[in-house]
Amino acid sequence: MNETTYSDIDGGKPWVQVKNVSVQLGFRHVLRDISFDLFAGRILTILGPNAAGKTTLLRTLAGAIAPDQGHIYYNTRDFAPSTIGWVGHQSFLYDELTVKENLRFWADLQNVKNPARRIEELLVQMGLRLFADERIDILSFGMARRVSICRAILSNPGILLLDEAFSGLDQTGVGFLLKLIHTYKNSNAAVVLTCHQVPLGLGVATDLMVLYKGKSILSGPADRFDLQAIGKDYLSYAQSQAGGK
Amino acid sequence: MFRFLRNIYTLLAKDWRSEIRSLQILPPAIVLALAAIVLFYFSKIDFSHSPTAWAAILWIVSLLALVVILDRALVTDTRNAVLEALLAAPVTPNQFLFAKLLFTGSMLMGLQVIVLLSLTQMMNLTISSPMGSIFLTLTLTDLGLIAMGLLCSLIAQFSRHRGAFLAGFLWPVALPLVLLAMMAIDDPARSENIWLILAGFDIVLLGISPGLLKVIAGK
Repeated sequence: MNETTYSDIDGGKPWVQVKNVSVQLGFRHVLRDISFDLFAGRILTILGPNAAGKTTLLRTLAGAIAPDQGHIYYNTRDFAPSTIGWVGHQSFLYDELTVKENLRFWADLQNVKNPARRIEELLVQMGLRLFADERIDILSFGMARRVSICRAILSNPGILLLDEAFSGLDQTGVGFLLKLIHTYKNSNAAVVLTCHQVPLGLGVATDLMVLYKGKSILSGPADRFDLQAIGKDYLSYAQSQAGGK
Repeated sequence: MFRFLRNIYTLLAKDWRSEIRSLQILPPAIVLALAAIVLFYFSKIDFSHSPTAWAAILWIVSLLALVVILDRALVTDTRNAVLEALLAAPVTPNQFLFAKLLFTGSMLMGLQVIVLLSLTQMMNLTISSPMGSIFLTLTLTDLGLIAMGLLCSLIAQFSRHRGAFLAGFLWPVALPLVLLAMMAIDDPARSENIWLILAGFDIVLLGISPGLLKVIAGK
């Protein structure tokens, strides 16, 4: 995290502002009226059952989908694509190319300074050094996931989006990722993550959101909620909170 | 501008490296082209009676090869959702399309050169039209065909009936272009006007393609 400077961020204002975002895919309303602020140095964990809209929300934040209604404001003076690192459900890697070739390809596109050194650094950090010259299609799902994470953080992005990034990772991989998330938090970057491993998500969260059928039914700083109750059954807790309001 | 060209180079280099590793486009396209030429060779066409029949053979082979090339040209990009990540950042639709145009265009033109060489060598064909005008016609026609074909191919990638969609949509729109190209080769006196029409078609297609690409790949 030594290459990125966050001096262009206005400390008092949110890093990302999501205002009344709705997304329709085909005839289905996948996201309805989602609003939240994301501040630098915060980790937003998004929980929700399958088809709640978590992935669509991250795709929208990454810029892959334009909202049908509402806006997303990025509070940087020179918002550049390299400001966002995105680990998606799929690897975003070319099967025919090796780990190193894939990372070099993305590093060149993202204009990473001294790419060879950066790639080497990440390969060591993520335990991929021995797999550097292997093609992606022969790697296990977990190892490919690690390469995806390397790809996402190549340019030291200011915003990191992790969509089910813990899935398929072994204990060491989860350890790497948790360390990475904390490093990002301490570097004043913002992290948004979705996961079905609720304890993992709650363990790192500074902010929480529960999505259900495309709507945000619980949202706010994590210390405002009963994390033990959320850990047991987040959906019931969120619904009871929403009903209580 | 430097960034634009560098990104195109990076995408193009990746496409060629990927193709050299997987060999999933060139070998089937070349085999198909050569098989068609061998069939025409044994049909014993007399080019002295039909001096531009070679152009018809060239375009038949080109159209067949085009479907093979386009069918596979975007497979690696749509697999693992790489295209989605590319277009989200840091590649613009323009850069992606230009790189793909160069990749598929160089393949198609290379194939057309092989076909022309094979025709002249195997069938003792003498091409009377100036080479410059033939290559200009090929370039203008190929550009339109590929720009349109890439969009059809992209839609086809996201549809359940990929093969049928690509051929079904590409050929009806491709045929007028190919007929124009045939007319340009057949009648050099009219070729300048036809080049203008082909160039206009290319400009329109290249103009709308980046926007359409973003829409098709967006959701």
